[in-house]
This record gives sequence, structure tokens and C-alpha cells, in this order.
Amino acid sequence: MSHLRVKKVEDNMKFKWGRKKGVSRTDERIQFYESFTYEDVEYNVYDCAYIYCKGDTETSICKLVKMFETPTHVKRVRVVRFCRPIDTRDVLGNHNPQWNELFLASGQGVGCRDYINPLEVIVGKCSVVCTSKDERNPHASKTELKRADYFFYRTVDVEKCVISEKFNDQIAGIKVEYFFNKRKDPKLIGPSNLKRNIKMEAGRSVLSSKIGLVEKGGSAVNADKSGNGVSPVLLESKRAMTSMGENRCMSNENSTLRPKATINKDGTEPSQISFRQDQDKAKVRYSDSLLPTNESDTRPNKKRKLLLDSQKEVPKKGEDIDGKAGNASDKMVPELAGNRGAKTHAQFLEVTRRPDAWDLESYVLMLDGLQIHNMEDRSTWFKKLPWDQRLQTAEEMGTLVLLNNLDPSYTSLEVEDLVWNAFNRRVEAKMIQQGTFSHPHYGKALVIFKSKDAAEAAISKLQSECLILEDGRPVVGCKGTLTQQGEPAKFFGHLVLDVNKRQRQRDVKRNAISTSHSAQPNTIEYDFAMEWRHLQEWTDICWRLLFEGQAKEMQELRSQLKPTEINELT
Amino acid sequence: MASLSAQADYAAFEERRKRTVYIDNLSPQVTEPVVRTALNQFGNVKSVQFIPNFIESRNIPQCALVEMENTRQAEAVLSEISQFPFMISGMPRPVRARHAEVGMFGDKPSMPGRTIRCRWLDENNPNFKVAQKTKALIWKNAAESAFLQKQVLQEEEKLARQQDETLKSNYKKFDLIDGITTTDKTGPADKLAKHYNLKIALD
Repeated sequence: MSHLRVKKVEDNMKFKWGRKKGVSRTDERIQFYESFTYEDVEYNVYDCAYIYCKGDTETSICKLVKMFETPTHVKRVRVVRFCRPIDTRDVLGNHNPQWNELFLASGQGVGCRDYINPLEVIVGKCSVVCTSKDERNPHASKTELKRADYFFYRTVDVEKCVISEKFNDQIAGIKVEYFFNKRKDPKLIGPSNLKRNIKMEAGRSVLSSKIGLVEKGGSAVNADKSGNGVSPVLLESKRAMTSMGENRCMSNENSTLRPKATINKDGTEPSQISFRQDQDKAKVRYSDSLLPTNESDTRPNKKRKLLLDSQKEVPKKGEDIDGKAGNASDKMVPELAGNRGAKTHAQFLEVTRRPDAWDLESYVLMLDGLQIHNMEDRSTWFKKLPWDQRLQTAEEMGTLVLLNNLDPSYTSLEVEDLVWNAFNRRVEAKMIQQGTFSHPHYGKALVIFKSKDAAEAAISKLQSECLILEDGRPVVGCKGTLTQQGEPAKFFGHLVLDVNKRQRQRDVKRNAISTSHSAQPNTIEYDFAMEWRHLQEWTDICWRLLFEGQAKEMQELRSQLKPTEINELT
Repeated sequence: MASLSAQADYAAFEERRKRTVYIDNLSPQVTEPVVRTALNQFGNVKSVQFIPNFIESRNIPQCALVEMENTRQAEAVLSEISQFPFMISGMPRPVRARHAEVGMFGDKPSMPGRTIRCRWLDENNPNFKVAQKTKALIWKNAAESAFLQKQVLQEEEKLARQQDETLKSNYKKFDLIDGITTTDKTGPADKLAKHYNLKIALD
């Protein structure tokens, strides 16, 4: 086994920490990182990975939530576990999970919080997507689903042993957003990230090709793995495979168990080994992907059905989700994102980092009482509640700003970009949808800043200086005040007579609520309706006159603007 | 250069906009199924989206974007509602329909190929004064709009009250007539008929 040892040393050399994140407040010698690279595979915080712990019979799948190095140079990683269906069989009850479904462990108890491991337990990368319909979860696209090894949309409370589709706001002290899929924000697709992703992909494919080399059945594994993907073409091969599965499983059981034995041996001295060698890794991964077929031993018929079901269902979900995700992601302006990425890359350090990762890490570190050195502002972290609720909170906290005189055709994303460029603040913004009373020339947007100070600074800067858009319109901002909720809204013009008094239906049908109709010309209703029409015409004329007058005034002022070069900021 | 997908997105959005009708003067009690059933008679309603009101007065009527199956159906809705006073969920205030505009959509895609540029002006800039004046004008305009909106709401309330009065007095009249011609042989009409020895023809 001596050559193995040598190889391990080499493996050690292939390890590299990524960007530093901060140090522990309690012990400055504890260094946190946001990523590390091992064998060209980059592991970022909040990536998912297979881990193997001494004494376990199987690898587990985990989310890496923190990675750090102790003063004695021991690399450690904190994880939150996913449970496989087999782990949860005692609490499954009537649930019938698909073989590639996982459950996110939540609640207090073993296997969830504070699961700190030596970094060496990581065996390989794993892609897990969240298919939860939770509003906070950005929907996974079809391709993402296809590519993913596993999916999850339910949590299992390890303490109460309950499976639930609800996600609490925090799981193991981490904001639940980070367990969901990553946001596909155009801002995030900066050049550096892109590179990183490509690298990651390359790493993955290397790994999978290795599997192919190591085991004869490798191709079958690949097929199996892609089986949770969508391609209907695979259906046939899949069917053939399931019949093959029993044999394969028998023959592979030994070969997959053997590498595990070596792992166990290695596992006895975790501080010395850094990583297991490729072969083991590949095999563990392989055995992992074999899990369903292993299961099929015990209940072959059911299993086969499950497999086929999963194929039918997953694509359906994928389409569904893809449709929604497509709306959000495809509509972004690529130029804008590209330009911005390049520009910010040159000037600000923060931008090269993913803004969502930034939030997250500061949040996590704050939770643990750790300090971040280069933190720009201690932002307020909002839960991803529905927009109207977030607006309420923001108003209460004074972080809400109303921007006026934007171009009405701006999109919310463009406003976010604009604020980012003008104030160097990452905000959430939404354009106000225009309605009857909205000014056709002034676009308004509600912007939620991360802190009250940031919001106030932005307002005062907008007052003392001038933020000019390309066409010369200055942007103004004020504190955002929302419509008061509470008393029911009044609406004039729907008349209801006292029902008790009414004996007969005369000219007016009074019980017309929740019905619709056109008024007939021989009724009093029609006369009234005509009066309303007149009023509506009259108000329309008033509005038009007002808007025209205002536009004229504005035009006069704008004509006084001297043409100057306008810096391209965005 | 605008990417093709962005252009395609925008074209798709334009298509959607064209088959979408903007309905306003809706009562706050109106819900999505109500609008849906109301407009399904002119075609197939694909989606109904209420425009949220975050910053205006709570008393302004609801408005909604109703996406029809195609442009022809949208036109049908428009002409129907403009020709006849169309009531949804109450009367006699009719709803109104207009073509949907880009700014009304919350999920509009950005215009392909557009780059947004902006810059900060400081006091030394020759345009600073004009810009400051413009800013003042924006606030003035906003105040004017708010005032007009208040006036409009007041007018609406006035008209509603007036109509209520008319309706009530009409109702009184009908009640009175009802009272005269009650059929239980004790009403004024019967007494008179007895007195003059006439017969009342009842229908």
C-alpha cells in the first residue's frame, strides 16, 4: 500500500484554499474561507457534496455551510445533512419518495446542527436542486434538474421526526434562502463567476469520466445517473437497465464494498490523510449512484415502478419550473449585466463576489459572533417574504425609498442596477406598475435598502446632488410611505338598497354582486351608468390637461439643459 | 448588441401586451374569478393580474390586466365595454377598458439593446441649476396629481351620493304605489274603488 501513501501526499498538494472570508472573533487564528479547490474541483460554501464518515455504511450528502482552518492547520467543514429516503424510512409514513429525492435535515438534533467534520470527509461534489414551491426558492430550470444528482423539496425534522414541505426561516442557524437554489440574478453572472462555474463543470466531468474508467459498469452508472434527468430517449435504455439492475447490483455489491473497507482504514487517521484517492472516490460515488438498485433487491417490482414514475414525473416538473424560471432569467439584458460586471470588476472589490454569497456569509458569521473585516455595511437581512410584506418591514425600518422620475419603461432589475451604479448599494427594487392615477411620464420605483443609514444617505445625496439619466431627467427620491392598510377601502358608485325593504325587483336588480352584465338602455341603472361615464370622461380630460401642462413645463426646463457628455456608468 | 433571446422575449411580451386589456374602475371586492367569469363571455381569459397599489390612496378603484387568448378577443372586450356600460360586481358604476401599456406590467422585460446611462451632477456643473429646478417641478407635479386625484375621488363620491338619493326617492315612489295597490282589500285603492263602486282590474 506504500504507493497509495505516496499518492495521498500528491493529493495533498492539489489542495488549495480559496478566498479568505474572515477570522473568528474569539480566536483570530481560526481562518474562514469561502471556497477551496481540490483536484481542479472547486468547492464553495453552500455547495453540496458527498461526505463519508468513519463508521457509516454509506456516503451522505451534505451542504457545506462553513469551511475553516484551525490554528493547528486542521481543515474543518461544517455541514448540514440531507437525509436519503432510506434514512427517513421510520418517519416516512405514507410518503413515497423517489429514489433521487432527499430530505433536508432540520430541527435540533444529531445530524443537523453543528455537524463539524474534518474536511477530509468530503468525497466529491454533488448537485442537489430544490424543487420546493416555496416563494423564496428560485425555481430550478429544466437543465438544472436534468443535471442534478438529487432533488429535495421537503425537510425532515430530526428531533420531532416529522417530514414537512415547509421550510423554516432558519435551518441550523443558516438562513433558509441558502438552502434553496441560488438566485439567477444577472448581477451574479460576472466574469469571475462564470469562470468559476466552467471550472466547476470541468471538474465534474473529469470526475465522472474517471468513474467510467475505474469500473466496467461505469457507463451504466452514467446512464443511471442521468436517469433522473429528463430525456425521454433514455426511457428505453432505462427500462433495459432496470432489468439489468438486479444482476449488476449483485456483481457490484462486492466491488463497491471493498473500497469502503479501505476508506474505513483511512478514516482512522483523519488528520493525516487529506483526501482519498480517485479510485476510492469514484467507487464511493459509484456505490452511491447504485443505491436505488440496491434497494431494488428488497422490493424489485415496486422499485421499478418507482424508477419509471420518477422519469415521468421529473420532466413534468422540470417543464413547469422551467417555464416560470424562464420568465425571470431570460428577460435580463445581457449587455447590461456584462458591462456592469466588467466595470465593477475594475473598480470595486465587492462586485466580483457574488452579492448573495456576501449577504450569506456576513449573516452566518454574525450568527456565530465572528467578525468580518472588510464589511462595508452591516446590512439588515430580510427574509424573502412576499414583496408587499417586505415593503411593510422596510417602511417600518426606514429602509424604503421611493424613486421618482425614472423612465416608465425601466424594469425592476434595471432600477436595481441603476442604484448599484449610482450609490454602490445592492438593493431590491420594483417598479410601480402604472395604473389609472399614475403619471404617464414619471416612472416610480420602490427601493429597499439594506439599512436605514444607506437609505437616508441615498435620499440626501439625491437632494444635494443630481442624478441625471441619459435623457436629462433627474431622479428624485423620498422616503417611501406605503398606503395605509387597515380600514377597508372605500369605493363609490356601487349602490345597494336595503334588502329588507325590497319586495319586488323593479328597475334595479340589487343582488348583482359578483355578477356582471351590461346595463339595458331602459333602466335607471343605465341612466346612472351614463352619469358615471360622463364623470369618467370629465376626469380623463382633467388628467390629460394636467399631464400635458406638466409635460410642457418639463420640456421647457429640459430645453435649458446644456448638452454635455454624459458618462456612461451603467 | 442585443441578444436574440432578449429580442425574442421582448417580441413575445409585445404580443402579450396586445392581447391584454386594462380594466379599471373595479370595486375592491372584485376578485380574480369574478373578473374571469365576467370577461369569459367575450373570449377566453388567460390570466388576470391585479395591479398592486402600494403608494396611492387606498380609495382608488382597483385595476387589473386581463390577458385574453388573442388580440381579436382583446379588441372584442374593448369594444363591448366601451359601447355598453358594463358592470362587474355592483352597479351602476361601469368598468372601463383600455389597451394595456408597457408600464402597467410588473414583469416586463427590458428593452433589448438599451443601455442605461446616468451621471451625478455637482454644483459646478452648468446643468446643475436646471436639474434642481426640474426636481422641484417633479415634486410640484406630484402634488398637483395628488390634488387632482383627491378632487376626482370627491367628485365620484358626490355623484355616488346623488345617485343614492335619486334611487332612494325613486324607491319611495315605487313603495308608495305598491302600498296603494296592495291586494288585501284594505289599501287606499280598494277603499276608493268601493266608494265609487268601481272594480279594479288586477293583472
